[in-house]
Amino acid sequence: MEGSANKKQSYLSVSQFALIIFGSIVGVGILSLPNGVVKVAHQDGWISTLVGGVYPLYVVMIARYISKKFPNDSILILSKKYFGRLLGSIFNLVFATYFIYIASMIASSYTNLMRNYIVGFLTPFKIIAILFICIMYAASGDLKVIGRINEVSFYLTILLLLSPIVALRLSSMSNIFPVFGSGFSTIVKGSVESTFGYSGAEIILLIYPFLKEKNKMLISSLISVTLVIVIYVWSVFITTYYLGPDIVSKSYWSLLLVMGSVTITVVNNYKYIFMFLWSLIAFKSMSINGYASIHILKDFTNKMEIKKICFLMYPLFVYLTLKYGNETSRQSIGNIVMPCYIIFNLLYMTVIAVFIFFKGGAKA
Amino acid sequence: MNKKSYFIIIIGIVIYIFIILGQNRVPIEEVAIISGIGYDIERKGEDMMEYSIPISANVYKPSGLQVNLLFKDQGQSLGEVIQKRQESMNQKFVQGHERVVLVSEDYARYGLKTLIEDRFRNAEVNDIAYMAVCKGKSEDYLKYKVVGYSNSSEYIERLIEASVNYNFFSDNFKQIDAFVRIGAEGRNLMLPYIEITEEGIEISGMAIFKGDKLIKLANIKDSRMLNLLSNDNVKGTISLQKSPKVYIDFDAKTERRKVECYKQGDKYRFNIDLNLIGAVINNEMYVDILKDINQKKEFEKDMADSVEKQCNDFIKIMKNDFKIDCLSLGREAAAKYGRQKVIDWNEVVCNADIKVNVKVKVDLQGRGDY
Repeated sequence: MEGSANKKQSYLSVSQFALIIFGSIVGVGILSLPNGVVKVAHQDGWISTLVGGVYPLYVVMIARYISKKFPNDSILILSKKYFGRLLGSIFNLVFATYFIYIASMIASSYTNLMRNYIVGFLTPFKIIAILFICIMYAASGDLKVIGRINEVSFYLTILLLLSPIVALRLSSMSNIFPVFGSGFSTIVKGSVESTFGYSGAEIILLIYPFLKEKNKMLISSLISVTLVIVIYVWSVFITTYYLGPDIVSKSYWSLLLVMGSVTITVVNNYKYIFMFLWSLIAFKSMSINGYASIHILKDFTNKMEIKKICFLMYPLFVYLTLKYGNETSRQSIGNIVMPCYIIFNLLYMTVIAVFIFFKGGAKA
Repeated sequence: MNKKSYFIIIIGIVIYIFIILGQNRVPIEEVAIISGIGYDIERKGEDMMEYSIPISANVYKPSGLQVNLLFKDQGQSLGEVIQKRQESMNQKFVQGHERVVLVSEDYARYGLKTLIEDRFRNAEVNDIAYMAVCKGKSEDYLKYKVVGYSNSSEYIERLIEASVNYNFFSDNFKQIDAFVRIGAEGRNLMLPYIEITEEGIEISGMAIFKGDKLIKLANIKDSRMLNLLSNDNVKGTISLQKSPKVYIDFDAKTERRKVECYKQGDKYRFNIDLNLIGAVINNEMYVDILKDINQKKEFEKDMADSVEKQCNDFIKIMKNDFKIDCLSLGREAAAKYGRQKVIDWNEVVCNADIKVNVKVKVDLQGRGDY
């Protein structure tokens, strides 16, 4: 693939392109997203989430700028071009570890969730080992495969996340008021917290060369990122609305408590149906991130087959995911590592954009 | 079939064996399903006490027979109770199907902290099981035989579920409601209080909590007003009576209550607006209520005055006797004047000026006046 689109590579349709971005961001993290945000920003957590949406929008803007100048070269090639071969490769490697980190982090979070709620009788190793077989299989395919998985799971995501609408009649707006009551500085602090929830949007820097209709790139990515922001704000809002700002941070997966309020005739406990279907969504976001990391790594190896890389990466993924441990230790690792990666990503793409700006366009 | 399908089948079998290794799977006939759980406490001096957790479990026999068993064990901690329970229990038990969580009065007075921790941490429990405080030991309630029901937990569940029809009880007595009330700012937990009387198990009032501790019990008359004032969309019957022969009954339904909160200096003022809409179900008082619009208005006014008076009486009791904010007014004040300011909302509400405005509207009058 060499980071650029050639003739053999099949192109993505506009909706697949948009939904890959959507699917890359929305994963298991949304179930615990309200915790961190509401802990800091209290009842104004949803405003913080809205403000935090600046990060994916910024990524989209940078991607737009870069792709306008270099429509067929992904950020990997540009990084080598401007930073030099060695430095550029190092940065690309860090960028690859970012996706490895995200994929394994989601897997760890998913395993912890499933072991707490459903399959407490399974050891983490069993779940993770089988989980990554599926992920590697999905990632070893074409980008088109990932695109199709996303198209299917998108509708499921929307349906599942809209289901707590019934909780609207069960509580009252006084849990949300006073709006802006927690103060400007706490809202900003909360939005930094929510930025971590938006990680995954960087995939756009890798996949824009594969979009067939280049002129629709901005609009489609903007729509999908806006949809993510709306869904995130809705999730934080409904969780705070239903549970109240004091209770949200007590549960590790507070959105699931809200799901408990959904009662359907015949169904004993909707929570479990939700979690079962949500597995597909978690799987999808893991496979996108897995795909991204493997395809950046392919750039380093000389014509090595994707499948071989998948086999080599499999033990690493399983090992990493096992190492994160339980939910509290996973979160404490995340609190240290995640800000570093976010800062790196911001610098990496901004510096490349600045280079492009000063050194000129395609023929520079 | 080509090679690929064989490969997939083999992989599938291998994964299945991989998962199944080291598992002790039990068929459903061999597990006990918990249908109701009780929390009792026995105080043995200052810092000495014992937890006792009776569970009522359904056991299904291969012949199709369903038996309800009660397991009861004691221990110094909730974990010890589980240990001891298994000593006398020949089966595994599963959670998630429990219908009621009963708390004995002693336990509630000691504090629900341990119970909530136990129920919240465990992801398997049923969050929409009803909670109730019971007089005496919860064990007696789970043991109680109710005619027509295989176990009493099912009966108690139905009892609480049906209480919304009269007496203005709300549906907010589930476990999840306890979670969102106990730790929240400006809210207090209210649970139904049940008793075993000669006629069986019945709701005899409300248990009022401050934080996680039961502090007062309201009788059924006060509970009616408490529920009317603190809930949205509740149903109940109210009467105006001059003598056993002259009376009128009104089947009312409230809308969303509106609470306004003002602050004057350090003093808070609350206005509660209640709209009662409903049907006249008995009328032996106003002769021409159907035909005469003035009489209808007169009735509406009399009724509103009467309800207002009862509400004010209750608020007086709440301020002087209960000394706690039963009406979640602190929550409304916090929503207006800011949270996380470490204000004791119970004290604020008890010293505040609370005004109730009731509006009554006759909607239906039945099929005629006989």
